[in-house]
Amino acid sequence: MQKIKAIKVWEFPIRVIHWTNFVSVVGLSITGAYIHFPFLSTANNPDAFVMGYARAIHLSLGWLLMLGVIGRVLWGVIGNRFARLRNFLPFTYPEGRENLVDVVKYYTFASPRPKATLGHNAMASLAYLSIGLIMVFQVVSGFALYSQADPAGTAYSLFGWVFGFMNNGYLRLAHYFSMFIFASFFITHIYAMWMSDVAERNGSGGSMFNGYKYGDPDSKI
Amino acid sequence: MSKDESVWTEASLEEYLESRGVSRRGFLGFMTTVAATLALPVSFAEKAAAAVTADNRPPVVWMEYQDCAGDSESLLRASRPSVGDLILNYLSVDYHETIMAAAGHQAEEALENTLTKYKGKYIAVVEGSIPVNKDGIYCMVGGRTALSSAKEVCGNAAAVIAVGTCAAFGGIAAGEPNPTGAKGVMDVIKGVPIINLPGCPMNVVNLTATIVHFLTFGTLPPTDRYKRPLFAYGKRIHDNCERRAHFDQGQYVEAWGDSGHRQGWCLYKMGCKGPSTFHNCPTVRWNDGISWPVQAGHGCVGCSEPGFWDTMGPFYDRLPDVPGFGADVTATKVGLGLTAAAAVGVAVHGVAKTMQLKASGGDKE
Repeated sequence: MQKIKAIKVWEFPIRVIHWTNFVSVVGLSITGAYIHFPFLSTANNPDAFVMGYARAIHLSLGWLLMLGVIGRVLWGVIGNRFARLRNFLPFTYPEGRENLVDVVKYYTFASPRPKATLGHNAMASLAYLSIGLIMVFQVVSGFALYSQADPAGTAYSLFGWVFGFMNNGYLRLAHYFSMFIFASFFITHIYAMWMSDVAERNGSGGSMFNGYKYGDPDSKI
Repeated sequence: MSKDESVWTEASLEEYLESRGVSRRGFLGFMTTVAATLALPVSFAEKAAAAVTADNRPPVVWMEYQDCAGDSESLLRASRPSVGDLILNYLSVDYHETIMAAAGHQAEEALENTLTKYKGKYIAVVEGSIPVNKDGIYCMVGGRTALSSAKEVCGNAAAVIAVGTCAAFGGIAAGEPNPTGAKGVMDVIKGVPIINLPGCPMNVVNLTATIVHFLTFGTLPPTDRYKRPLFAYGKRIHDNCERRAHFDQGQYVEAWGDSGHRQGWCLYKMGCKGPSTFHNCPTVRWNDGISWPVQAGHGCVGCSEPGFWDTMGPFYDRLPDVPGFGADVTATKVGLGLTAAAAVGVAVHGVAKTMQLKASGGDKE
């Protein structure tokens, strides 16, 4: 344990993208829930534009989420070793597979603590891979639904192919239902972050603010 | 349409219309409307009028398969015949099971004559879905399956117009579990120009406009990915809806007959499918432009979309039910259940993990 050091794990762009994704997902969920079920009534206000604003915010945050997804993939190519896209596929390399077994043991109470890792542990990587793919789906389906306002437009020519795979009704259903997957992920994510901070004491709790975690600089993961 | 005497005399379209009280001015006025429906400049009205009145216009055969004759009803209407109806009437419809005078062998003979005499030149209008299960025995007309009849009639046509959602996408007959294997025409017939005019029923204005386009230009109008003509299905109901301002404003009908409903507010919360349905109902309306469902106070049911019956329903909910969870299980119920399960799961896990960490003597490290 003499080798423990503070190591810059999450570079600035990763942290910025994490928080823009957080802001966009929360904002998209609130406005999206309103668009699905308009719970605010503006019966007596002739100047109201509630749904109009909800949709404007939803669409703007959709752009932000799209930029976040693109930025994250880009940083997965040019960023440091903890940011690389390879990290999201832990089953493709030996240390990842080993770590996956170790983390499964930790979560199933077979061991009290996992072995220290610096970047994402293998299980977290898989969770982020899934949520990342759902973000991609939300961006694509969202822009596809938006593009329906003008089937002759650019957006429809870019995203209209989605309707070749899924019809209108189910695409809307999937786009709405994904909000609950984000909500479930949010709860699990906060819990896993807190619990691993307690169990590992490696500073993961604050690492998304300052970028530093504590551990063995030679750790592969 | 029917073997009406005035049609079968050699009268020109103008004379025929004249005899029904429609002046040339009225006829050109109507052609202007059709040109506008097709989003063509007014100058095309005259060209279209010339094409419609030309002597070499192709005959039309109207085939009914697994259908309710609703599109034929839409064509006939109970109100006075419009100019459009008269024009369709004049386009010698050589075969139409519901309304032709001939029956039995005579009727089949009429069809056979048209198919041989005008091979590759006539327009086939198809109403109803085509069942394919068990070699198509679920729909037999004149001793033949709909499938073999459609292959012959549509396969030799200059163009096929599938009217109604059943002929376009399978429609109600193709709803889960689809026992007859009902399919739309485009899924069964290949190699012939096919255009879909879905809707339950289709709007006769769009049928007239499509035929006029075909007569004028010799081609079917441009279509979207579902082979629906863009002039009629290029815009969403929602984007042309007269209640749209109430949607943006946040004023919704909450219950049938409430004050919002009486004031004509948006029917979004009552399950209106206008936001996901492409059709020109708000602009051309129905029954000679008198009204259309949303104007009459009921939400759109999405009848002209693929997936109408299974995935465009339920009528009074925003979204379809989650597949695999049984009836009336909404995405909200499943989603809240998932979220609650995640919350309970992490709470239980957290308590257990904390106890395990304590027991393992974590604090001593």
